[in-house]
Amino acid sequence: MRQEDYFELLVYMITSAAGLKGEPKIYGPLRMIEASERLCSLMLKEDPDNPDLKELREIIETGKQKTTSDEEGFYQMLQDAAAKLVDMV
Amino acid sequence: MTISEALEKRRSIRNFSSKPVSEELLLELARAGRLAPSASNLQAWQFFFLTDPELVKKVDLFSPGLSGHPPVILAICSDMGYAAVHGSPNSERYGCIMDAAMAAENIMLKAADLGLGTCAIKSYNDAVVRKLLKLPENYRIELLISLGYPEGEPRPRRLRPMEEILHFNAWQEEV
Repeated sequence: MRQEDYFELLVYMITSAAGLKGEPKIYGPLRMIEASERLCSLMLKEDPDNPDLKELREIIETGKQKTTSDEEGFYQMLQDAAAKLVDMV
Repeated sequence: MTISEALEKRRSIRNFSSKPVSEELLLELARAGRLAPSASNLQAWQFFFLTDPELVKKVDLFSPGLSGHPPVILAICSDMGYAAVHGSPNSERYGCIMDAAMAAENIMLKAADLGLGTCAIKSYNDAVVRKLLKLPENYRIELLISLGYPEGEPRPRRLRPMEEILHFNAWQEEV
């Protein structure tokens, strides 16, 4: 993995943390799950055919689009993503 | 395209193609922006179209609210030094923000007319963007707008029901 990839994730996480004060409450989990998705994508670069990682990324990608339109759906996605991790341990 | 059509067509776009946007189109957007109403006709706004891919990439990187890697980012700023001289205390409190928001809507509607997608955001690191744009101390960043040709379909539109937001005359308690 390139150092630049780690750095971009690091920048995203720190700027997110720095910016969350005053943001809508739902942006906290949104930024964390976005960072998780980015980490998942980095893991997929090393293991491109991993079906669990692919599915996890798909769950997150689909669900995060509901942040501002379907709050319950967004929170359900967080549960689904967590449950998906069971298949991977 | 009529104004009504542009109002319907404009959506917050979070996926962009890498197709570049011509300077001619960006100038049209700037013209639309400066036609917006301005409190006390102050026009303290400053429009920064970021087109240098390296600069766009850096601003994108430090803006958690930006999605879809737009080829262009517009930073709408206010010259607070100009506002202090030509405006009033209210210019600083809300006038400049109001102006920037109205200019932004003009620009986003014009962009829709030109087949471009936009998304207005406030989730960026102010200190970093200021540094990257080498802004004078008295410039205030009001908002960023991502700009480019849309890719894919936008998220479904979610509008609050009309009965929750519409009033004729004085407010009345629901029966």
